[in-house]
Amino acid sequence: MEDTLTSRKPRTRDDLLFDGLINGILLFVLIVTLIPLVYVVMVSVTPMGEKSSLFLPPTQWSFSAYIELLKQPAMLRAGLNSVIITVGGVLVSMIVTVLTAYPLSRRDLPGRKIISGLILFTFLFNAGLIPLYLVIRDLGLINSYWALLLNGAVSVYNLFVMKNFFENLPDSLEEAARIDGASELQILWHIVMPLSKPILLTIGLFYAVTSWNNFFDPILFFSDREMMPLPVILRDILTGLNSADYAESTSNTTSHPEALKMAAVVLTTLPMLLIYPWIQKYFTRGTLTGGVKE
Amino acid sequence: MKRTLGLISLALVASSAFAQNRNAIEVMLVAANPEAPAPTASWDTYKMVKDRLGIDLSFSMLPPGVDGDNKLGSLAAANDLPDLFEIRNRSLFFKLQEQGQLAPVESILSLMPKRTRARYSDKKRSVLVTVNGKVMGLQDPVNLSRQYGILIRQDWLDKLGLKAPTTLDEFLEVAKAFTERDPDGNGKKDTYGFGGVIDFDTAGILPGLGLGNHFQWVYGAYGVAGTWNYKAGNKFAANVKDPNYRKATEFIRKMVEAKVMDPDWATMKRSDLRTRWQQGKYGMFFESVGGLLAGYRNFDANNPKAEVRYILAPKGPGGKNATGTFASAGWLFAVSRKALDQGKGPAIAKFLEWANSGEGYNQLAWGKKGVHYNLVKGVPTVTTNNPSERGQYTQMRWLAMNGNTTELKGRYGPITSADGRTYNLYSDFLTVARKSPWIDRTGDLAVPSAPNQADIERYVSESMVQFVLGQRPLNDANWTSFLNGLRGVGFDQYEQNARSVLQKTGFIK
Repeated sequence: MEDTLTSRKPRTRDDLLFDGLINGILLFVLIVTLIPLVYVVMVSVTPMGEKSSLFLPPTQWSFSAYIELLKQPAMLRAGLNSVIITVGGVLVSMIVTVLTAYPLSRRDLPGRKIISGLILFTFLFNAGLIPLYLVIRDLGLINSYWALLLNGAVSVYNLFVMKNFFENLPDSLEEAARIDGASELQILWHIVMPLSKPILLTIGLFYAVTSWNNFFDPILFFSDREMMPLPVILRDILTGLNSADYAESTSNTTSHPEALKMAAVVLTTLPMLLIYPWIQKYFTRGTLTGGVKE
Repeated sequence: MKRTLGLISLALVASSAFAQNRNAIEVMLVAANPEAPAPTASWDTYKMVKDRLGIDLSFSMLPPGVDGDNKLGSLAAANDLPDLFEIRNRSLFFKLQEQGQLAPVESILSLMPKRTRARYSDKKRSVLVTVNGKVMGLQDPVNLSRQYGILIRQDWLDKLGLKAPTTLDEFLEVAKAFTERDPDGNGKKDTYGFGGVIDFDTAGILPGLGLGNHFQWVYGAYGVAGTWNYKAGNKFAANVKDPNYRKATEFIRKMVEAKVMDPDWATMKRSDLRTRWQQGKYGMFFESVGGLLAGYRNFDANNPKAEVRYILAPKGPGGKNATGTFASAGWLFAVSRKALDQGKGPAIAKFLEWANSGEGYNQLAWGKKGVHYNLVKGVPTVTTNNPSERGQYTQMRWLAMNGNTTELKGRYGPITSADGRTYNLYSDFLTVARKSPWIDRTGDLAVPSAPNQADIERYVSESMVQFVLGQRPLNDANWTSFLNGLRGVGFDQYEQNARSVLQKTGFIK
């Protein structure tokens, strides 16, 4: 693996051309994806009275929109709620997904096909909003964080991705462990888990992003505003700051209205964005490096 | 563990809490102040309601817009609607009524005589929520409408030695002067005569078909403000078919040609308009009293010597003028059938009556006396030291507020500029903006939306934008083809439907 990457073959003109073309395309894609993001950040630091543009010199940046949003009394509480929902959601989802995916990946599980089929069925046919609401209500989970943690605890797509990963682990490893007298749980915990770090972190991140961005479920299941996560509160704050038609106090904003909107976008995406680089290496790392001498 | 216990107890509570306690009422309203948090569990209104009325009140907030509609829809499907709640979407109201989720409110009306006399005795309004002869909702009168008008920079007028315009022609002249003669004296050509955007928000006014609220006054000057002409019999038609509608559109085209409007006006949002008048870019602009009050501090900081005031809508060639059209119906509240079946009607009536006037009114509309407001000569006057806390405290205010003159005086008191000049917003608003004729078009709310309402609105709006921007020359051939195109979006059916509904409900003879 290492050798092929670093070995220096004499490069032909075609090679160079090909590399240049690939790099050019990738650079183009990078620019296309970056521009909207840069624009969002630029608008969020646009001071009142300026026309927002893609290239605003840093000397003119104003963080008043951020200050204004962070000053709102409901913000801290909402941030905490988001953390609770995300951390809790990831924990519950991962435990349940691993404990479902692993047995399903074992070829000797009786009724494996039927169980997989039933799970797949829920992926293809969705009951819709109202049955979901009824279930949550009848479980007594209205105004409880469990409504979010349990609803959608398993994403069928993530489950099958994980199952396929487990299926590709060599059986010989487990056989070796079994001969040494390990129980099923010990095998899962000591052998399978350490080898599955990349997939666990990847799926974990998927779950985290889904929980973090969950907007409508809290609105549906919570009537207590104290429980609302960041996206909901930010939307309400923006609605309030932008509708002065019924206002009568000088509660109006002193920031650029568009800057406020974009600052809200940045504030909600930032935490997830910060996690990415930290997990990045597991996305690209090879899945198995040795383990058994065949 | 704690969580699990909590879960079990929650399940138990949920099943037993609403064990038919007739004096426990759940109220769900759209937040009056979305930027402020919800009232806390220790909100003293709860205690007050318990002490005075013996009612256990619980209040929760509905998200604004489509999310709120979806939430109400789910609650309805689960037979879980709150006892008293707000509906901002009329078609949802009728849908819930069809599903049998709403209670007829006659029995409640008779239990709250004061509130009913003040708010629910107008036939014109109750007809809007009457189905098969039964009144199915509490249709409050509008408590803040006609709050918009044309504002003018008096200091610019003085500087250029001009008078405020009273006719469309004068309006155009003044607008030109504000654009070309550097009224702010900064040596740059960076000002515009008129600031308005294409805005269809219905905050107490009806935008009609075409270019929205901010340009209704032009159509009003030609006697064609609003969607329908409300003439009886065969004369009934949509204003858009009236030759005067074209003349009004031609006037706006003239404004665009004279470059007296911001070049971005057709794509700007209301928030952009606010940002720019506060910067001092516009000599005249369309704004609400709330918007003016909220932006005044910023405006004053940017333009220290500036003076703004409302002017009457300019008159057209026939001597007519109108700022726009409005509906006399405001917030709509409904009582769920479940609540009535459980015998909660009397408690709901008692609570609403309390909120209508006196102590309950003050508590819900203004907050804590001495903290959030003070009575100055009998007028509740907001103290502005903690807007966020006041906002949290008055999240239920739309149940209480009624829009009477005392209230407006309290809400729109004098504003003081940094250098000590006072501008009496309230009197200006009442004597000018409200005097400037507004046409009552409450009947519009009774007209059901066409199946393709969005297409109809978009067709008219986009055509008008093309005409005024000059993308389509405003000549006979093009105007005729625009009118013919109305058939393509099923306009005639919509019009006939409007006519029959308005006749049936008695809005036209």
